Amino acid sequence: MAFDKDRSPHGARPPFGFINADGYPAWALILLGGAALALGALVLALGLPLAAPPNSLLIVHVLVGWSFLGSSVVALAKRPRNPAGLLMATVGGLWFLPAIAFAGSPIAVAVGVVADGVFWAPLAHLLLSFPTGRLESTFNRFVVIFAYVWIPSGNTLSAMFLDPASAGCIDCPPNPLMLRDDPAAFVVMSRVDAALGAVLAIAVLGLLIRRWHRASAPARRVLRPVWWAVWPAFLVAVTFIVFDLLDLPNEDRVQFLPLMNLALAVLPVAFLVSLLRTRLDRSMVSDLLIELQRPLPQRGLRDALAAALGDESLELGLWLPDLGRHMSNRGSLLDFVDVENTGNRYVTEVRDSDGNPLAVLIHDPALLDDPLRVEAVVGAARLALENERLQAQLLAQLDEVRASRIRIVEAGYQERRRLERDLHDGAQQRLLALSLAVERARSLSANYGSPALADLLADVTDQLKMSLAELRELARGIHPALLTDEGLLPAVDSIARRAPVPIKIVSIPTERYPVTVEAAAYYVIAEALTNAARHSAATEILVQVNRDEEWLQIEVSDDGRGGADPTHGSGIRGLEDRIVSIGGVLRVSSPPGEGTCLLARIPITSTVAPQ
Amino acid sequence: MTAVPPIRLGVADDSTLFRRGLCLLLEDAGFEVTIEADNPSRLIALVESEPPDAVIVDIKMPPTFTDEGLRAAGEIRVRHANTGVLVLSQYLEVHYAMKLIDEQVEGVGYLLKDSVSNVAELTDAVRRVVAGGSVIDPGVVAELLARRRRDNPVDDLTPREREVLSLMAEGRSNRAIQEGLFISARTVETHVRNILMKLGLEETPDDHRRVLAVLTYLRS
Repeated sequence: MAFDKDRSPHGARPPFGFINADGYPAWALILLGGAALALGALVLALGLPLAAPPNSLLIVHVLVGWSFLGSSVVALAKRPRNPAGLLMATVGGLWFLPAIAFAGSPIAVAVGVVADGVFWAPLAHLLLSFPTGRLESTFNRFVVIFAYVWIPSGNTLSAMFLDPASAGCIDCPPNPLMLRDDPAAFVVMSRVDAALGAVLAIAVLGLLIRRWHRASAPARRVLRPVWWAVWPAFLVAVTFIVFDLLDLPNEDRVQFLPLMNLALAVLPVAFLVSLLRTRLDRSMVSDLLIELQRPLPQRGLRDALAAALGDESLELGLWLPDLGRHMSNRGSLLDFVDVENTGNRYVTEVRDSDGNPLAVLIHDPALLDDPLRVEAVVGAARLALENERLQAQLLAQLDEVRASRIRIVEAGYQERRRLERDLHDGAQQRLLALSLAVERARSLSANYGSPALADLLADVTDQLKMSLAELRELARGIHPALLTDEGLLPAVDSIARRAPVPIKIVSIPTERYPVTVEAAAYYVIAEALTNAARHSAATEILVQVNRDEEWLQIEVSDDGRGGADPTHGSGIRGLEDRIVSIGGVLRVSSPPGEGTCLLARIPITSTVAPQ
Repeated sequence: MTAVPPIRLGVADDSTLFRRGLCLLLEDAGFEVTIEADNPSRLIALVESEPPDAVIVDIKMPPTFTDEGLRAAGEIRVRHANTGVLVLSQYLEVHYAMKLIDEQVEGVGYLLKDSVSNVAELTDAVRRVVAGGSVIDPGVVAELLARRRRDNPVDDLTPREREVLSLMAEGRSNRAIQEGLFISARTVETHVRNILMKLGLEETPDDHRRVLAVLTYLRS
């Protein structure tokens, strides 16, 4: 079934809104059951005195009718909206109808003759429309309509040329349909009737086989009992037709009758099993309810729903109000045009308790055979879906917050770099130019014989040099240009040169990383080294940086006294904030007497690209 | 004044203020500044047409302000055997100095911009580079020697030996060390031999190989 635009989630019609949950009133069903019993009893009462022995033939005959009618009562009670129940009732009724001939009056005989085998028409209808109740193609519809029209017509046409008396039935009442007694025409008509019957039977079977082969897994599960039960029934039909075609004597026919009728009697039971099987599967819904009590997604909401619906192909689309689109469980935005193009999918919409769009289930159309189950599943999942949506919104907000934290941290690093550059290009540059000028003034004054002035200017030069050195240290503390220009290893190496405690760089990759990653790594190491040098009384500090796929692993450990409290002092706290902001982890372990070890993991990819 | 022609220099720095000051200082000191450039490519082009005896290059210049000066210095040094290069930097970083020295030892120098304001130091550095020697800023050498290590052989040196080692690392010859410390040539030789032995380095008569060996040792 192609996706129907009218049933799109934005359409006005809710997919299952037409279902009337009340079903048939009990009295109607009791009436139908009573009628079935009465009809069967009547056939027995009328037929037993007339029928030739053995009587078991007639009893089996009645059993077939009861089987159809009885199954129809159960089907109508349990699946009031499935036309299968009504069709089964029709088959049962038409099965009994020809027995009216037992009444003996000419009219009754005529009705009995015309109604002979008419039950095949609703049976074909049932087979071809089960379980949806719809005849999917024009050809299907043609076959069924043809059966309804032709079988009684064919009977009538044959009867027009048969005089029961001349055919040998002395006791038979006269044939009110007879135009003229023409045994030759009767034989021709009977043959045509039988041949068309054979064509019909083959067409129905062919359509069934085609359907079976095209059916999806959920559809086959529903269809399976009927599929297996239909073969004996088909053999019955073929045998009847062969008998008719070969014009075999009635005695041979009679021998096969019990077998044939038993095969037919099984058929409604198979339909019933198919219908009720979906009922049994509703226990999956209670499994779902239990599953949904646990936090999702353990298996994922989609998986849970797919299991409860028995449709592994189920796709779940969550409604995103911001985008006005549905997001598939596969992470892509759903396009219903695509769904339509793939065909054979059906979209069921789920709305939240306020009636707003919540999600769509894109599933096998076969699930519609059991709309109540879909409704039950959707109802059970509604809360979970609302929950999931809320969670998705929270995650989106969290992502936003995370992104803004990264931006803040990055802005901080960029600000430090800018400050360093400003110092380098501004104040430092001016002071350097100034010191050159002072040096010129000094050598000039020395040349022109002003040693006192020269000494004074030499003093000024020294002061300037000290200012420059201090300014340089300040700039380096704000942000080392070496880190930006040359990377982590030279920058950490530079700290190590100045440190009052021996620092051993075990390993630092020379490859370059995004600015934020390098800056974060650098400040972690710098802070850890400063703390260790200041407080640990260590004799050596080890620095180790390794790349572990998409992570930068940093380890700074010392052999000092340990016992450092990472919650104390804003240094580590600030570091941790910055590391966590860019999606990293920071751990400090410092058992007393065993040194301090700082471990950090920084994701390489989560941040911006290198500049 | 002798008949010796003045040393011709090229100066490249994107800061006009500093460049002009430097040029004036150099001219006062008796050098002839034949090239002034505010970016590396212009410097290279001018050197190409009339190579001076040495160029003085700022390490950070346009367009990226990272290590253009270093690269320009390396290129000039490779193309013009008779042009020495002196790289100026505001950064007291061993890394940059070693990057320069690693490519070429002869006729190269790394000087802090602070040191330039001492005209004697500047003149000395320029002359040594022009003469094909190496110059490493004393500040950088101090940084190299200051590094604390466990089981550091440098810690076993006598104060005098450390002084000699510093001068070796600055790229000075035995003769310069002798003059700088007012000691005899023989004493210098003894110090040098002892130092190299304590550090486990091989003795070499080549000053350039010696400075490279010492710097490499101190950096590691």
